[in-house]
Amino acid sequence: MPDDISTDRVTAIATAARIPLTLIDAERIARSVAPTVARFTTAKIDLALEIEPASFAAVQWREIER
Amino acid sequence: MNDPAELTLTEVAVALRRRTFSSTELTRWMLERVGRWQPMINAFVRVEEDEALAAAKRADRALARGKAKGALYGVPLAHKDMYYIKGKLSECGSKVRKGWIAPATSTVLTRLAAAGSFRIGALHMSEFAYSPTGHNSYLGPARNAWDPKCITGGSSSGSATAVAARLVPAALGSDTGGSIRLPAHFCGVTGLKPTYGRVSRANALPLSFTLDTVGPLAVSAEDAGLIMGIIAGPDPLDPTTLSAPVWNAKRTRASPKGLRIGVPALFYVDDLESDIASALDATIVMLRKLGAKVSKVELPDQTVVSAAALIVLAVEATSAHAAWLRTRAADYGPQVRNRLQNGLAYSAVEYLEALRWRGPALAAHLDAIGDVDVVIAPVSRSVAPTIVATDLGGMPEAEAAIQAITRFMRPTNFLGLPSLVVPAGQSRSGLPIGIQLIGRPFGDETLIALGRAFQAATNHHRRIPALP
Repeated sequence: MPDDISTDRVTAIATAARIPLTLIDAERIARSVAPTVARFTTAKIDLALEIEPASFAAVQWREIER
Repeated sequence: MNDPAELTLTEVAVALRRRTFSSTELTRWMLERVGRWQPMINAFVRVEEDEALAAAKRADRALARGKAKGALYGVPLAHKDMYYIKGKLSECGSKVRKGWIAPATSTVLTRLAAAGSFRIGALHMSEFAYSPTGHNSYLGPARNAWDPKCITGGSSSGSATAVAARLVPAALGSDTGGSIRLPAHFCGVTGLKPTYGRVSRANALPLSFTLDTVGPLAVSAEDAGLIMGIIAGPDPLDPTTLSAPVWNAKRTRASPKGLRIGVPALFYVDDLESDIASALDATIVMLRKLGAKVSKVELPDQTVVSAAALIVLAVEATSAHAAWLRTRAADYGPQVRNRLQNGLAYSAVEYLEALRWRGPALAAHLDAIGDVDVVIAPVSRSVAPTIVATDLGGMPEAEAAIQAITRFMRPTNFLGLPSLVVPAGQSRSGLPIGIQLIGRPFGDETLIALGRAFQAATNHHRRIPALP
């Protein structure tokens, strides 16, 4: 994930999703999400290849067996 | 009739079984109270008077014949307007769903009906459950029963302020990023955000399928446990619930002696208003008196967990609303439309990286807390701000303001943990303060037990606002 979000990038994703978006909206979105993106990016999370979304349920379930 | 406003849901249910008052008397009393409070707090979007009175009369006939079954027999309730009933309006707080008739009934309302309760109306909510303040450009804001100039919190705005004003003894809310806990804190009621997967979300409005949870707002922790005993458990219509353990009512009555309570050293203690910090300290003192063992815990960086939650929420909400964003964007309120558009900032790879990290993030949290049973934390840095100060609509600063209000909420949603908010004091201005007790996965019953013990030793949850 880049640590910055450009207006062009937001516009491209909106176009691909077929959701109309003005340039002003794209600029607002880019500014609005920038802190979130920066925080997640700087954490440099290293995910093992085998991790999938359902891995969450497996961790939850360890608690029941605890 | 004794004043039902003084009673908890549990006490109301007992009074009905003992015929202290009838369901019809209680329903008439509630409808009259709704009539007095509604102009002040805008808690209801619809009152279903005729149907409620008819249901109450049926309940009274069954009670008279000794045929009443179910823990909530004859109890009138009301719920956030996002729990569908087949053939009934469910507008979900939005012009986009104006006039929409639900094609099926939500599992939770089916279960509450099977326990003998019925609905007296539908409650206010933030548009599509996507705002933490209780503002709604379509319905107007819900207002805090303690001070109508202040926000209720959202998105379960009507549920919290209606219970605070004792218009109903309990109500369902939903929590994707704090929507049960923030209103419970701001309005001075008890609220449980259950473990993800503990309660079915079938035929209820979705916002983020990874983060959505359904839970009660009520007068007491005992009441929240009573409702959980009815609504929790596997439901074939919601696969996330299929392997969840059944509700263990016995565990909700366990002693808090020896429970290990963790106090976060960072993040949750940053920049608290002094009244909030004092309530947190006083709660810790009380939990110690009750026999809990209190120690510091160092949690993994909650700002990263919070960022992951925001990414997942933004993309899933945008995906859920994509069809309407293509064709009916102008029908959304400006703030919700802006927030729904925010999901367009992230690629599929980025979304999935955040989502895949959920399991490792939960494992890291459990490693960090060790054998701690419950982490105690504030709900918000402040008591309820005013409606005027938070009425940011679609202004550019709205997203930052929303993130500040929900700061202490999102990690719990991302990690799927249960969290109980209990009233724990009031500010010098008289506004309520709630404290959240965050449990381990499927540790909901432990939270109820701790909440019950705390409320047996305190009276914060018994305070009732006067009609303004």
